[in-house]
Amino acid sequence: MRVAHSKHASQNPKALLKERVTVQDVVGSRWICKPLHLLDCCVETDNATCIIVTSAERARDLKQKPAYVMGVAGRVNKPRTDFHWAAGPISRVAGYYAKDIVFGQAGIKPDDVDITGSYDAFTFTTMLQLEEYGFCKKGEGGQYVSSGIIELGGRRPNNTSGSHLCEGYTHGMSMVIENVRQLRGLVDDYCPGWAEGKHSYDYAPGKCRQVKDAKITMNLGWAMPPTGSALIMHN
Amino acid sequence: MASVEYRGMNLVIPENDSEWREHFKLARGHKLMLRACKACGLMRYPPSHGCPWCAALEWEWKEVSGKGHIYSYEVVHHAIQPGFKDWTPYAIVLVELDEQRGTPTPDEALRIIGNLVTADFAPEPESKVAIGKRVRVVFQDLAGDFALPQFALTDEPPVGRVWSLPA
Repeated sequence: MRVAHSKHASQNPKALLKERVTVQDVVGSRWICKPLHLLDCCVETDNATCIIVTSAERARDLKQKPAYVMGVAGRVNKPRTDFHWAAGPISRVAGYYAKDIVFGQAGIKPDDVDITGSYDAFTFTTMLQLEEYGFCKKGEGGQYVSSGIIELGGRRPNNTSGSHLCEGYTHGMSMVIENVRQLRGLVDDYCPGWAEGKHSYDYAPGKCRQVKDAKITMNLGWAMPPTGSALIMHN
Repeated sequence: MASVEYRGMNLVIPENDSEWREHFKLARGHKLMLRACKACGLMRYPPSHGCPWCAALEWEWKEVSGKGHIYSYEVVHHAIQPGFKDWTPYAIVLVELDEQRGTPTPDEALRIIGNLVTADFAPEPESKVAIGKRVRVVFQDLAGDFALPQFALTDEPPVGRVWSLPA
């Protein structure tokens, strides 16, 4: 997870940590709270984000190309939100309950999603959410992540900005903004013509991070293990 | 306002905290007391006002044995409280009590977080900690009306598969 997100951050001029790391770097970094190493934890940053939500009709008249909301699951809770670890299997998080709501509204399946943006305060938060929302089976998150599917150039890149682990911590909001950029074709990478939508699709360090022909994106939001939100958009 | 010193830190529990104040006071009598719902009878932890299952507001204190097994754990290497710096690395355990296991749903249980300590309330070394190992509650007296429930390993056979984090 950290390796993939660091690759993406190396294509993001605004990322705080742009250096690519290896699996050895991650497991070799010092323990913070075992099983989490230093590089399993996100960066702490002070920043601000903004998203404008309006009707599709109004959005048509605006300067920027809109991203359209297909489905929203807001603040979905596991039973007994007070103490997550008292209820159910400890590895079950809110996404387990949010997935049917958000996919039901959007009328699509996980396989239809081109890009995911998942809360990564720690590496495990994204892993659990990818499992709960059905991008892979429960317990198979490790294989899903290490297969390369979640990397730029893979079948379904995750957190293409480098996100909380590498870009900066924004409670998940920057991943929504990144997905909007992806849907517009206007990812602000190192391609000289990115502002006109001209991308090289070369995912080498310091190059492009635009996903080609991204049509549907999904955000997997996390407030705490038993509470989360999800958002599906299309262009 | 009750203020108790523990490892150089002040543990402050306001007078009007009816949930925790009494729980720790009852622990001073070396009893692990949880709240039980008067309507459905189920116990809960932490000692909240309403029943998490049936929402009834009437409750009573009920003693539990304090016996259980380690359901999960973590090992703190980077202490965020100064009082725990000389303890690192130390384990924090999530204990599943014997009472009410698998109730009201198969995955539900009374689970309590605590430190895993030796007889003199020092942290057990990481090598001794594992999921499945049996524990019992022990009480660390801190004041005349305040004791901290902690957990200690027992010799009982483990529950299910014993598993620990790779060293």
